[in-house]
Amino acid sequence: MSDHIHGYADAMLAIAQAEGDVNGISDELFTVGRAVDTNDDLRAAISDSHMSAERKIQIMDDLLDGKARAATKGLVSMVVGAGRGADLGKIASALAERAATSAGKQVATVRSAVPLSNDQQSRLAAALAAKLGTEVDVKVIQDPSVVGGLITTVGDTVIDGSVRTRLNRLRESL
Amino acid sequence: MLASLTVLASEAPNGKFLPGDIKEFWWGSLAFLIVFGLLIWKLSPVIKEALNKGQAAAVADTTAAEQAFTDSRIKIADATAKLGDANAESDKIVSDAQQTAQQLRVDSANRTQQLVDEMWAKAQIDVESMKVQVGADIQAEVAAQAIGAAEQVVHASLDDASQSALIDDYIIRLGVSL
Repeated sequence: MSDHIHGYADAMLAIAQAEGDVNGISDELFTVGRAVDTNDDLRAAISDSHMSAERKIQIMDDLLDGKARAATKGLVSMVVGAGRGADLGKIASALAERAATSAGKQVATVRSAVPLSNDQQSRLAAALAAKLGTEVDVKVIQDPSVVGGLITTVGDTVIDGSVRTRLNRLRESL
Repeated sequence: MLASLTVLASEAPNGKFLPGDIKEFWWGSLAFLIVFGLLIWKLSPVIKEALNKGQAAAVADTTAAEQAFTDSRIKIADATAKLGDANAESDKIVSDAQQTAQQLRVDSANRTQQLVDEMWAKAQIDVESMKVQVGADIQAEVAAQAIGAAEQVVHASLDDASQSALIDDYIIRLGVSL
């Protein structure tokens, strides 16, 4: 990962800690970063070198208006205004790892075709904590390609229980 | 000379052939003999030499003619021999050409047969390869159809309850595998 991503993540963590809402800001930035990574048009727009920084910031403000904290919007505007909009997803992931680490946890990125309920997230976090021996901060990414089930990534460990993978295995066996 | 004697004799006073004075006869005869002897003495070598020259020339001409004749015979024989050689050479060329043509026919036939064999072998390999490829394609197509059908069935059956059940099952198995 590039140095500038670590730098932005460290700066964001410091601001979130200053705001006293690390988890909330981190979760919102993770969601925004995921949206940028999965939406080609949005990523192209905020990466367009011919578009002014003010216009890019305005686009993100419009998207987050009423949906995110002011601190979150400010951090997004900072990254987009600096011309690092395409790296927002990586920066947000790095921030989530730092936020979890600062709280003595690990980040568990969970991919699911459908949203997880709070109860499911809690039970999943407990099961992962019991398995890994450390507290985990579950970050859910909605990914229709999973089809069904979950794919959990904690560090270098991947626990794949998705329908997509089972279909792929069936395809390979045939 | 005989004509002169006749004239002299006709002038004899007695009208006979012999002069009236026999001395004239003798002197005349003597003169004749002297003249004749001189002629024999002086002209004989010249005549003889001329005859010898003529004979030598005739002999030389004859020899040259014979030589020319001989040369002609030799040339004729040589030409005949050459003609014979030419015929033999012609026959040899024709024979060689026939052999070459025959060899070319054989070679061409061999090459054609070899080409046919190679094409046949390649065709067999291609057929076998196509069999394998078609088999693989059919298998892949069947697999794709089966996977597609399976995906359709899975997607159709994955309602909210099924999705939730899958997630719960995942969490339970994660706890069991501790």
